[in-house]
Amino acid sequence: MSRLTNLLLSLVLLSACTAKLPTEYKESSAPVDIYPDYIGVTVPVNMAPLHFSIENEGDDYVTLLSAGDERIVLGGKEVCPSLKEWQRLAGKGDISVRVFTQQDGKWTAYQPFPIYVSSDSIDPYISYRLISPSYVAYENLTLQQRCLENYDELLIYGNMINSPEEDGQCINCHFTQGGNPERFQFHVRQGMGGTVIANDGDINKVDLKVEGSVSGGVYPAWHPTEKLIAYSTNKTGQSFHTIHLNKIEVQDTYSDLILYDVEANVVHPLECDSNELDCFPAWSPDGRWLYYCSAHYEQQDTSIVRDEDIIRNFRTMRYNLYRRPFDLATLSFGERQLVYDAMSDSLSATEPKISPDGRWLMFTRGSYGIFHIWHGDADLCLIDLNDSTFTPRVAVELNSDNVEAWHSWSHDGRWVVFSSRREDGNYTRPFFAHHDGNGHFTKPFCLPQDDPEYHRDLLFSYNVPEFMSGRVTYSPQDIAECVKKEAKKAKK
Amino acid sequence: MKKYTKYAPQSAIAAFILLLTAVLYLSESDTMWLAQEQSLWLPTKPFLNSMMRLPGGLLLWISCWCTQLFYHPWMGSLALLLLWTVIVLGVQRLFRPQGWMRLLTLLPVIALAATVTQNGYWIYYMKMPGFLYAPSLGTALAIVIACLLRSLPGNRWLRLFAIAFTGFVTYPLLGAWSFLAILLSCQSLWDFVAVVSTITIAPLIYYRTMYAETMLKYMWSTALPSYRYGDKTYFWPYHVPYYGILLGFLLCIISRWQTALSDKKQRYGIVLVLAAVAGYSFGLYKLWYRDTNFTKEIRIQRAVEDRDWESVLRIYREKPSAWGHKEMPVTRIMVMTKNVALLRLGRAGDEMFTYQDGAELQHAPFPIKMTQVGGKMIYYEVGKENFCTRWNMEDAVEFGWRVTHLKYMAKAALVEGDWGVAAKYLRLLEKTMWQNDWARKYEPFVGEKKKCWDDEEIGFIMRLLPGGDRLDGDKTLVEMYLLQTFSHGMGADKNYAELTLMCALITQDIDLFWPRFFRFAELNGNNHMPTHYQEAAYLYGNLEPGKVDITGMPFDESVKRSYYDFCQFNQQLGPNMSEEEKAIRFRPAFGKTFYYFYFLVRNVKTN
Repeated sequence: MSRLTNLLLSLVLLSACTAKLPTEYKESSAPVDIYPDYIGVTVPVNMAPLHFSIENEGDDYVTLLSAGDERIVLGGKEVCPSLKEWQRLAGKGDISVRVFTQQDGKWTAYQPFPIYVSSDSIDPYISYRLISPSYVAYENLTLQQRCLENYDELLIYGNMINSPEEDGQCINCHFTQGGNPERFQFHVRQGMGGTVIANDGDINKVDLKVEGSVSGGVYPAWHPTEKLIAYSTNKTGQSFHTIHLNKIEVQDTYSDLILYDVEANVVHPLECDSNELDCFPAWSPDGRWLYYCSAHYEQQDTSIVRDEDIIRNFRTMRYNLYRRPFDLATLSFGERQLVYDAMSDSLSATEPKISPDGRWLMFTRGSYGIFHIWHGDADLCLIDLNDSTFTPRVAVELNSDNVEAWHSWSHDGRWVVFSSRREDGNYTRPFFAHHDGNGHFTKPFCLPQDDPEYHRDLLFSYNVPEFMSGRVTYSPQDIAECVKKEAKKAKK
Repeated sequence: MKKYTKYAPQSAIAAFILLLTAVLYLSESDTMWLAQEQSLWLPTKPFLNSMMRLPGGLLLWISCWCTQLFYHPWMGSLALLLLWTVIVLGVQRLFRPQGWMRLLTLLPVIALAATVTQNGYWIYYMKMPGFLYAPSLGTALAIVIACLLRSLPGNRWLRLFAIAFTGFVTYPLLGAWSFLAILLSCQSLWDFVAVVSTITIAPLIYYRTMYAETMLKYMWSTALPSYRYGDKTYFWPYHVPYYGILLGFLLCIISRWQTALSDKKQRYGIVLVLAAVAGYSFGLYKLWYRDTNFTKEIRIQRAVEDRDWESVLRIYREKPSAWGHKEMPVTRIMVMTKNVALLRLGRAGDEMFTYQDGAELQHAPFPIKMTQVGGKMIYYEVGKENFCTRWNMEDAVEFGWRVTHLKYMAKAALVEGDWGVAAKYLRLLEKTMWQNDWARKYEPFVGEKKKCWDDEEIGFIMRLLPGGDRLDGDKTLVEMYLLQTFSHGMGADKNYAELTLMCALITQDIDLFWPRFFRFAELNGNNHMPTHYQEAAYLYGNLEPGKVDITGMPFDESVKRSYYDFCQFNQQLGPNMSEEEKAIRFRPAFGKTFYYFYFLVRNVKTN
C-alpha cells in the first residue's frame, strides 16, 4: 500500500518538476540551505536519487543539476529528480547542483555545491527495525528492508501480525551472515518468545536459554562462513534519568557470551564469570577471532541488590574491547586479549565491528555504559588492527555533537552505515559514508527518501541498520507462522 | 392538508436530526475538545503510510481529518449532521420506505449517535484512530456505494461481478465497512451469495498478499472500533450501537412490505415505527456517557492549557445543583491539578486544604491510570519533564500519536532545552489544521534559553527542575512518586521550596516538614507565612515539642485559636467516637484546616 502512496506522491511531484533556468539573476556568495544536508557528500553510483528541499526563503525555485554534458532543470522547493534522471547524472560522474530562488520577482543564484559520485557500488539493501524511541511499550515494531537503489521499503516481519494486545511481542536484534538474506536471525521476546533463524530456506524458532545461562541469545554475531552464531546473554534493565537529556539508561546486571551451532542446535557457553560483563560479540572476517566488549564489575554495596548497586554506580560502568582466538575444529576459544583499555581513558567502548579486509575495527565510545544509542556523547572510533599498538582514534568525519552508534560495514568495506541522532537528538536515522580503505571517510549523508521531508515527519527511529546483499525471500506471513510455533529447545 | 401530511415525515426526520445534533453540540462540546486533542491528523507521507498499513486506512485517515473539526465543536457537530443527512437520504433511496415508515431511516443515525456519545474515558484508551467519525463516515460511504451498485443494470452476472469487484476494491480503503456496502446492495439470493463469498475470501487474499501488520482474525473487523483494554474486550454495551445500525437497516428493508398491508395494519405499523424510534432514542439516552467528574477533568485540562488557573479552581469547586449541600467527590488528578493551580497563584499555603479532598475513582469499566489520564500534564507542570516525555511516548506507542502527545513533548523539550526534538514536534503541529497557532506560539522559544527562562509558563517550570540527575522510576504511580521526590527535595527557588513543603504536608511526615518549612520561611522573607504552614508548624510543635521549639514563632492568633478549638472539640466528642464519625462532625468547623487533614483524612488512594 505504501507503493500506492509513493506513486500518487510521485505524480504530484512530477507535475511540479518542469522549470526553466532564469536568465537574469543576482549571484549570492551565501551557501544554499537544504534539507537533508547533501552538500559535498559522496554517494555510490547505484544510490537512489538524493531528494532534498530548499530551506531558503523564496516565492519560486529552480534547481540545475549537471554532470558532464548532462543537465536537468527542476522547479519547486522540493528537488526530486526521477530515478532515470539521477542515473543519467550519476553515470557521468560528480554532480553539481545550483539553486536559484526568486523573491519579489528577482532571482538569486546560490553557489553551486557538489555531490560526488563514487564508482564503488553500495550493497543494494539495508535492514533495520523501525521503532518509536520509546522505553517500555513496543507496539507496531517492524523489521524492514530498504532497497538503496530506489525507495522501496519492504516488511520483513511486524510484531502486530502475532500480537494480540493481551500478549505483546517485542522483536529485536536482527542480524545476517555477512548480509546474506537467506541466513538471518532475530529474537521474539515475551509473547511467542524465541529466536527465529532463517537458514537457506528453512525458518525455525529456537529457545537458546540453557541451564546456567544468563538468558537466551541477545546480541548476535553470525560467523562469516560457518553456521555458528556467537551471542551475548544479558540480564538487562532500564532506568530513567530524572533530568539528563539521555533520558534512559539501559544496563546489564549480568552478561556472558555463548556460541550457538545452528545445524546441531547446541549452545556452547564461553565463560561464566559474573564479575565480567561480556557483550556485543563480533567476528573477524576470517572467523578466527571473536571480538567483544567487557566490563569488570564487583558489587560495591552488598547490602542492596545487584541491580540497585549498578543503578547507583551507572556512571562508573565502563567497557573495554577484547578478543579471543577461535578454533573452528574444536569450536573452542582461547584466552582473552585486551584490544583497547577504554577504562584507563575513563571511557567505555562497545559494539566492535571489523571491516571486511580485517584491518579496521570500528566501535562506539562514550563516557560510560553499554547502550550508547542513548548516550549523547557516543562517537564512532577506529582501531587499525595492522598497527600492533591498537591505538584508537575518533572517526571525526562520521561524528556529530549527538549520538553515533550501531555501525555496519558494506561487503567490500567501502561504505559504512551507522545510526545517528544528529538531526534532532532523539530520532535515529541511518547515515552512510564512503571509506577509502585507509581509515578515512567522506561526509555522511542520510538515507535518501522519495519525500525529502520524510525523516522530519517520521516518528520512528531506525534501529540497527545492517547491509544486506539481496531481498529477503520469506514473506512476513511465513515468518509469522514460524513465530507461532513452539520454540525448539537448544541443547547444551 | 394532504400536502402538509406528505412532508410531515421528512420534516420530522429533519427536526429529529437537527435536535440530536444540537443536543450533542450543547452537551458534548468538552468531550469533542478532548477527542481532537486525543487524535491527530498530519498531511505527511509517514502519517498516511501509518494509516494505510491496515485495511480501512483511507477511512481512518479521513476520520482523523474530520476529528480535527471537533476543535470547533459546532464544526464537528455540523460534519456529523451532514453525514447523518447523507445516511438518511441514502437509506431512503436504497429501501424507499413510504410515508411515516421513513422515520425508520433515523434508526441507524440514532445508533451512530450512540457510537459518538457512549465513550467517556475510552477516548483516552481507544487504539483505533478517528473512531468517533469512522462509524458515521463508514456507514455513509457504504450507503453511497450501495446506491451506486443498485443503480447498475439488471444483468445478474454483471451484478455479481460488480458486487465482488466492489468488495475487493473498497476493502483496503474502508475495511469492514466495505462489507456493509456490498451487503446493502443485495437484491437477490444470488447477490447475497456473492456478498458472503466476497466477505469470506477478500480478507484472506489480502492477508496473504498485502497486509502483514495485523492478525488474521482482525481482518474481518478492521476499521471497526474495538473496546479492548488489556486482555479484555468490552462487548457490552459498547457494541450494541453497531448491532443497532444493522437492525435499523433490517427494519428499513422489512418496511418495504408495508404497502401490501391494509390501511388498519399500516396504522399499526406507524405505531410500531414510532415505538422503534422511541426505543432507539431511549437506548441512546441510556448509552450516553454522562459523568460530572469526566467533564470537569476535561474542563480543568482546557483551563490548564489556557494557563487560566483561577478557572481550574472555579471548575474544581463547581457542582451540579442536584448535589445540594453534599460534597461532590473529586478524583486525584483533580486534586493534584488544583494544587498546581494554587502553587502557580501563590495561594497554596493558604488554600490547599480548604478544598474538598478525595480519591474518587473515574467512572470507567477498567482502572484508569494517572500516567495515562492527566499525569503527563502534572509531570510537565512540576518540572518532571523526562517523565512527562516518557509517558507521552509510551502512550503514543500504545494508543497512537495524538495532538496532546506532541504538545506536551514539545513543551517538555523546551523546558529541558532539548531544542532539536522540540522543533520537530512543533513543526508537525504546525501542519495540523487548528494547532498551528499553538505551535507558532512556542516556536520562538526553540534555542532561546533566556527567553524560556523569562517566560511565565516555561520559566516557572524550569525553576522546578531537579538540581541533579539520577536514575529513577515512578512505577506508574504519579502522585506517590511526586510526593516522595518533592517531600525529600530542597531547593533554592521559592516556588520549588513551597512545592517541597506542600508535599511534606501531604505526606504528614514531621521530620521532612521542618527543614522544608525553614527553607521556605527563609525564602519567604518578611512576607506573611501562609496559614496552612503555620498550622502544620503549630501542630507539629505541639505534637513533638522536643524536636523544634516553636515558642518564639510569630503564629497568627487565628491559627492558635483554631488549634485550641480543634482540641477542645475533640475532647467534647470523647474518645469513643470513630474516626469516620469524627470526620463528619469536624468538617463544618475545621474542614479547611491542616489539622483536619492530618487527623481525619484517611484512605486517600492514588491511581
